[in-house]
Amino acid sequence: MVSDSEVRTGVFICDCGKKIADVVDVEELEQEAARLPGVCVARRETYSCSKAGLRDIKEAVSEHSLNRVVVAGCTPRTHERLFRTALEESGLNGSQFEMVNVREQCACVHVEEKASATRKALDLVRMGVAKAALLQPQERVEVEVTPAVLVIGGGISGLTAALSVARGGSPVKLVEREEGLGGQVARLHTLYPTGESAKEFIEERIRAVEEHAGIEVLTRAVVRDVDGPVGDYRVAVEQDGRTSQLNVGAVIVAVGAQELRPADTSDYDGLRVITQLELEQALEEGRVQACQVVMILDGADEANYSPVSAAAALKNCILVKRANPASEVSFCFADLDAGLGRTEVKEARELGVRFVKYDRRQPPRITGGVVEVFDQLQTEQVSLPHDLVVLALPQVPQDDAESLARKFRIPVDDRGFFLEPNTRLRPGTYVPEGVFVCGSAHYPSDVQESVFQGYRAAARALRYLSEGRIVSEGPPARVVETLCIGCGTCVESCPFQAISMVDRDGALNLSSIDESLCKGCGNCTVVCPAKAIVMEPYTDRQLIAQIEAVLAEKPDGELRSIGLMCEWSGYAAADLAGAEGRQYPPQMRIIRLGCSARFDPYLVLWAFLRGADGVLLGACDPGMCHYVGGNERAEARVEGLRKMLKEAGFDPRRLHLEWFRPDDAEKFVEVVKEFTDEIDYLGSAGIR
Amino acid sequence: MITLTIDDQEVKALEGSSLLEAARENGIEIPTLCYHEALEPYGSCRLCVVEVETPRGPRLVASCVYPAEEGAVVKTNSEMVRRSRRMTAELLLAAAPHAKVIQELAAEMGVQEPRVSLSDNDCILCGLCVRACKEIVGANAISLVSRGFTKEVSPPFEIGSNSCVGCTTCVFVCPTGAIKLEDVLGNKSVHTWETDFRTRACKVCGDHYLAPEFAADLEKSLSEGEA
Repeated sequence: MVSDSEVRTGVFICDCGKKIADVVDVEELEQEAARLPGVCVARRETYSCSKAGLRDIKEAVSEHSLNRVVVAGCTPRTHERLFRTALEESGLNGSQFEMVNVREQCACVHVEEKASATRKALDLVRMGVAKAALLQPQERVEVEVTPAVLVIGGGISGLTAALSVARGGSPVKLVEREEGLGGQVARLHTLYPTGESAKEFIEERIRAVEEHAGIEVLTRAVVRDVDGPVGDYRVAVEQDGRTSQLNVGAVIVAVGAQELRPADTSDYDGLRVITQLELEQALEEGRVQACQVVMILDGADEANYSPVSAAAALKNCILVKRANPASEVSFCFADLDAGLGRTEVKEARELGVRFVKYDRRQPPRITGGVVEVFDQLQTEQVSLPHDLVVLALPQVPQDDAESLARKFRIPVDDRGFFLEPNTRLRPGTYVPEGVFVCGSAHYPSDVQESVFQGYRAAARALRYLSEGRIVSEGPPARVVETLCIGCGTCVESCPFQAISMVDRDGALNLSSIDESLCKGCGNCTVVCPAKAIVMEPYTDRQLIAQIEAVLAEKPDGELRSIGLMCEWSGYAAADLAGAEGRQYPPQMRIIRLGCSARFDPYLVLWAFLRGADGVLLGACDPGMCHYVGGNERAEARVEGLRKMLKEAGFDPRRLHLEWFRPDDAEKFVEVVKEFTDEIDYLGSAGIR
Repeated sequence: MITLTIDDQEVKALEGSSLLEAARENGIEIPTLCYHEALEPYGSCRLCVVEVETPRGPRLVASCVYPAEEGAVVKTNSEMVRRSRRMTAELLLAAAPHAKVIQELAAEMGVQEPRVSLSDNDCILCGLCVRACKEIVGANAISLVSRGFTKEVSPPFEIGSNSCVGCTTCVFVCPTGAIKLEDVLGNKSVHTWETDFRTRACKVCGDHYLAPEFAADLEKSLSEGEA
């Protein structure tokens, strides 16, 4: 192997049959590439991605001792992996590879302007070679996935998930906070809508779980702490005062929900005014003798409305009425959702259950022997005599849901229910968290749905475990310790809480990036005042090298703009524009970035100072960022920068940020046309 | 290296190549829609059929999945091949009448108007999007579901997929432009709170909303009460 210090680049130019060769002068490309610094070999191929093409690249790598490879062909989004795999077979680190997209960005979109397309392709190759020279080999991080699953919560969804994971062949630890398993279902009377006994239903499952050799059940146990990297979680569980450590690869959170406790202001007394769960209990024990029952579906808070509570309330009205047809049953509600079974509503009505709709601003008042309520359906004030009032309260998250969410870094919605961790990240290289949520912990679910979700979570956990190990491409961002000044700016700005400060003896504190948490948005590299954080393959040096490569060769009298494109929006849209053969003006040179959070104002300024006439930034639609708000950060930065440019007497119209959907090629083309027109109108920026 | 004859030309190919790859590497183009270099061959569009000499006479094979063998004699543009390809093009045109690439292809083969009409969505079930999602992205967010006439590309259970990373590789590789990002990401989710119901304003209170089905039922029941 040649020493790392010497750059030996091979450039392979793909004709793509005739797709590229028809428009771009590939011979010129080949000759020009051979003259670039560090390039040892430049070669044309009919199809670089064909078996023969890949073999030629591999042979060239060993023949010329190449340590960098640039392929000028199509989009890296589909072909990068193919080439990287081939390079790794020839002993080269896959990260020392750069793909230049001359097909989608030149040949397909500038069909009528062959000379300009060739010039653009030349620029792109120069950029690729300049960047490749600076690529550092990346180490791969491999984590073995511990083949065990922790299920938190022994309710119906937890039991279902535990059972199906165990049947799938993985050991399961089931942690339950209470004395016994079964959760809320164990406290129910009958199931809706099948009418089977809840007790029998849940006991059958509890028995199956307890009898299964692969499931270890820990009752009266709570999760205290979570540690360890993704794929090898170490969970501290406290049981009867003793703390033990469980090593698991995946976690299924099935902590369920709880019935909202009656407010102190309500007339709840546990005897004549009870909650729905207490009614279920009473029904189970057969001690409901009341003749005048008023069911009040709590509607105080619209956001808290849970369809399950409504369905259960309706079911219980029917049950009470059926058991004692002479009884008077009223069902007060502020709102019912359409998801409620129509047959049940009908049945209740046919049985003679009285439906009373009240205004949520005027909830029913419970007095001595009657419930006073204004019936909106009859538009009159009614008094419902009662000897039993049942409060059907909504399901709310468990008390400890919040702390659990923090421990497992699970996002929660505005009501406090868990959202599944679902960061949409780099295809192929993203690290899944191995944390799954099911049942009412997600949102109030009925039994059927909880079972379904239990199966789903189990299936996903099993698939996750079956991978065996997780491979991620090194820590995306890295702190250069000699440059870090310990200011802590990055710690605050990291959207994934991946950065923390570590103590260092007798000196400043330093930032440290947790590699399993870092997603590679590059936000920290922008905010770092000391530029002490580097992120391959979008380091400052690499991006600047790309910008320089374009502008160094800028011919007099021509205008050049730089497009910094997030690969999830602008870059993808540009690819699609190519695939669809949409034409746009060829002045812009696109630089690929991982996320718009990487739009560094310094880079933009650098581009302008080196003679760029315009800079177009492409980011994802607001709310669509794959890295939590990177696009909004970019917007704020661009706003600030535009102000600064204006104050400095530089026309801020030369800097433009645009939102793109990754599949909106039409907009991309329109925006590039408009921007190019604008720059044409403004003329040369006059720097250099 | 093996030697074979394609269209009367003696060509060399790497062992393990398919006929299509052998032809492409030697500058012989065979039309295809479902082949992608970065993906395993699938053999679904049938446009790449070629004629291969066998001891039992000439045979049509799909070149993208048929291995290149030593001494094979292949014709990529014989009358037999053209007839088959014309039929395929006609059926593809019936399946994807709006796709530009297929219109051009059909015109090239001399097909004006398909004799049948199959669908109004342009998916030709080539599986490129499904394979790209699996092999390139690794997300497995979409698959081919059902069989026969009802076969389609869909996320599991036809609800927006959680596994989709929103990379649009599927949209990019689709030869006919039939798949859209919304098809995969979807508007609905298993989160029932996000499920859309058609609603209509209640006539009594004005500001509350009922599903039309439920409202009709309620009306009936109320009128019964009054009578």
